[in-house]
Amino acid sequence: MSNNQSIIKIKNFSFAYAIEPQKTVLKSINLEIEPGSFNVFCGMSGSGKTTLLRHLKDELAPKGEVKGKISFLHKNDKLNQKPQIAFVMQNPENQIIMDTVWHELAFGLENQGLSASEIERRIAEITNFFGIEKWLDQPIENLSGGEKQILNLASNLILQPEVLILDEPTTQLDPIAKRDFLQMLFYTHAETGITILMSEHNLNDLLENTDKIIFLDQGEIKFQGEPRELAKFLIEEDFAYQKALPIPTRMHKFVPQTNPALSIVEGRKILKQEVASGRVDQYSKKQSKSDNSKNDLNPALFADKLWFRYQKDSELILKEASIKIYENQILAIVGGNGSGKSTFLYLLSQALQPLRGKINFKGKPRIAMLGQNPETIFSQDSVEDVLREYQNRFQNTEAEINEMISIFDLNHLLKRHPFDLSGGEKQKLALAKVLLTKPDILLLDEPTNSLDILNKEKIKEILLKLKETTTIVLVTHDLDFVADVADYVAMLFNKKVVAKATTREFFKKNSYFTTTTYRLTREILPGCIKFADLEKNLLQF
Amino acid sequence: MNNDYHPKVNLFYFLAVLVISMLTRNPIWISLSFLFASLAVISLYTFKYYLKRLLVMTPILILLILFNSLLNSRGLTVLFQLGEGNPITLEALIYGVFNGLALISIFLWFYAFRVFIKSDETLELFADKLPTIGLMLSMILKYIPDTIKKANAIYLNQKALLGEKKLKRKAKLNLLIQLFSILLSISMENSLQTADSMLAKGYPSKRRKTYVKNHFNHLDRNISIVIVSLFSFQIITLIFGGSKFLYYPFLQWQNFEQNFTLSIFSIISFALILILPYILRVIEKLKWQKILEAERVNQNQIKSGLIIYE
Repeated sequence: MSNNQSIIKIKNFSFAYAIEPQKTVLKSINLEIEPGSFNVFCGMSGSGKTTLLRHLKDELAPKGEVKGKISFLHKNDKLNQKPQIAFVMQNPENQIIMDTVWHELAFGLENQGLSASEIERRIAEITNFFGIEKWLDQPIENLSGGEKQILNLASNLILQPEVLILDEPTTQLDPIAKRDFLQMLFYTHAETGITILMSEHNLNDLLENTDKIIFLDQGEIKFQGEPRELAKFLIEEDFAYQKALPIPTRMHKFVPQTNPALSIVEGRKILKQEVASGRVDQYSKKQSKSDNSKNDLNPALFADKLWFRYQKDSELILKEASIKIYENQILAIVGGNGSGKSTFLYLLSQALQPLRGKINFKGKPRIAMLGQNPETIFSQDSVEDVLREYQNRFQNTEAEINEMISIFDLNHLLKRHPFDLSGGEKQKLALAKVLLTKPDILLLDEPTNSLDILNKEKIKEILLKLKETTTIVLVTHDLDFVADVADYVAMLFNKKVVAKATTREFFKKNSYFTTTTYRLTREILPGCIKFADLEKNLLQF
Repeated sequence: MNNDYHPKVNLFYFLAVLVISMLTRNPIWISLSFLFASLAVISLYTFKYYLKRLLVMTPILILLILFNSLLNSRGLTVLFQLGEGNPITLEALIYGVFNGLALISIFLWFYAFRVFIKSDETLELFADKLPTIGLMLSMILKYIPDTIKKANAIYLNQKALLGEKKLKRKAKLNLLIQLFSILLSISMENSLQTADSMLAKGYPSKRRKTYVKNHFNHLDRNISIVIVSLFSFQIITLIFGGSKFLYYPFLQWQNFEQNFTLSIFSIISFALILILPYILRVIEKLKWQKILEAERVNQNQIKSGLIIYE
């Protein structure tokens, strides 16, 4: 380790923002980055990951009081010759500058004043490397979110940097796009040996390919080292952040004598050994039948053969999609990208009208829907005003508003502009605002997007409590979250609802489109679909 | 023209046709321009699209004819008299018709050219000489669809939040105001991130050089030379009065006899400009046929065993 000179050295680095000088955001950070390594910075949102990474790139360094030193390995001993650093940011759309793919790829090279033939060569090279030749003449609007983020990776790598920094690059992507992006990133790392620094709060799909993982908590590095060591550390010290570990790794808590598993394959091996050695009993099949006995369910609405398309001649999005939704139950709608999940939800909310078909409601329920991108419902200048927008309309008492503020931890943010909040805080504020409209039927589109693990737990609790008085429908990609909260799951495919079952039945029938826990335990410990099931099982011995 | 050529060639062609159509009042030139503008629109879009455009523009034509014949009583051939008003003359009527046709052809040329202006390659026309404007245009072209998408999302999410089927007029107005205010905030927020991204990629930079994807090749040069020389000939004709046509006091091609050769050649040269894209297309087709013919001979020889591949 030591004969390899570090490419970045951070020594006793502390930082406080100029607007809040009394609050140190980073506290005496000491860190060395080896050339060619893959480094992941993890921690809850607000732990200082982004601030630290931004300090490594002069152009993006936040303003404030800096103590300590960041030094770089000088190339060829030339003084003050910093390594080229590229920076990929969180939002796939906003960091794209130009209108077409080739234009975007050329932008950084144009700034370097390269000749046309050199630019052409580099574009040819990078498009071949990523296999994105087909996009070259496309306008940006034709790319999906995941494709945009891959383009951002390409438009940064084309500058031939020595260090690539990525600030939560997959937070706004769905799981499939996230997987594709990470695979592209691992491939790049393996093929080029570029030094990579990446921040991320959700550690799924990441650990196996990471050389060094740095865990930040409230501006301090609490741990740095190998992924397996991090798992041991988080679990032994019982940090709440251990829930961000992948499910196979979280198992370590209950089988501490083994090495933490980083993948499903490793996890299954450990489980098999444990069962074979008799340390873990096969799960008692006496499942509480309380799950869903269909008898006492009243339908709240029945969507009957809905058809929909956005424009007169455009493709049908939904064709004969029907669903019955029961009172005081949580229904999760799942399905691939572009399967019409969000559209279906907008139809239920009545913001869109079906082309054919009808939605029959029981009585006259109040419906409220929270769409994706929470900032689309923030038209006021402060968090408090956002919450009070419909105060008169829905006769919210002060007590009700204060309750929402305390449930969602918004007290310290009331005077802030809603656009200055973090992704997770925005989501919570939007949810609070929707709940203040006192809906009978609550529709949520990807409510867990950009939430860190603690906030996700919180939303889960809130939904389960809310269920007593409200019918909830949520659309999400997050199958593990579905398993935790939903009573029913419906799957949209090929423009209609192709499967609907209780959550347990639904996930048990599937082999691929199912929860991580189920894939981990299938055959070995039958009947586990969520981590809590596995937990019960492992605690038994 | 065609997207195979450099955007500058397309621009030259369009400017040449447009300038001539605007400067001349000669009915032959106007008719030719109208005819080929129609052909261009039909071949680039559909016949239905062309008819629709024409239908929209017909009222303009009728109004022009009406105004000109009612308000203008120059001309010798009186057709009839409306009450006490001005006499309606044949010359004024015909002048109105051709004026209207000239206007319609100019519109049609713009529709035809729009197919090319949509492509980002047209931006390179600016990028070459005015790099900042080129960059701005490119950013705007990205910004517009982005913003429309966001406006739609805001509208739907705001409506869905209240879950109501129909909005009252006041609520609708409110929603619209909110939509704009949110859109503004989101756009400002996003542009900060875009600015960060530009900084991270080394902008602004004194070394910055705009990359132009298309090269002006020899074919582009040759076609441009043809267009420019034919166009210059048109301008010469105009200056020497070879195409001067008088509507008043009676329809008359001025000095037609003196300028006979010039006029005839000028008509031919204008027709050549208009036909040029079709000529280029035919040449390309012939080339293809030659290649295909050669291939067919080759295939036949393989079949009959004259050529054996090992």
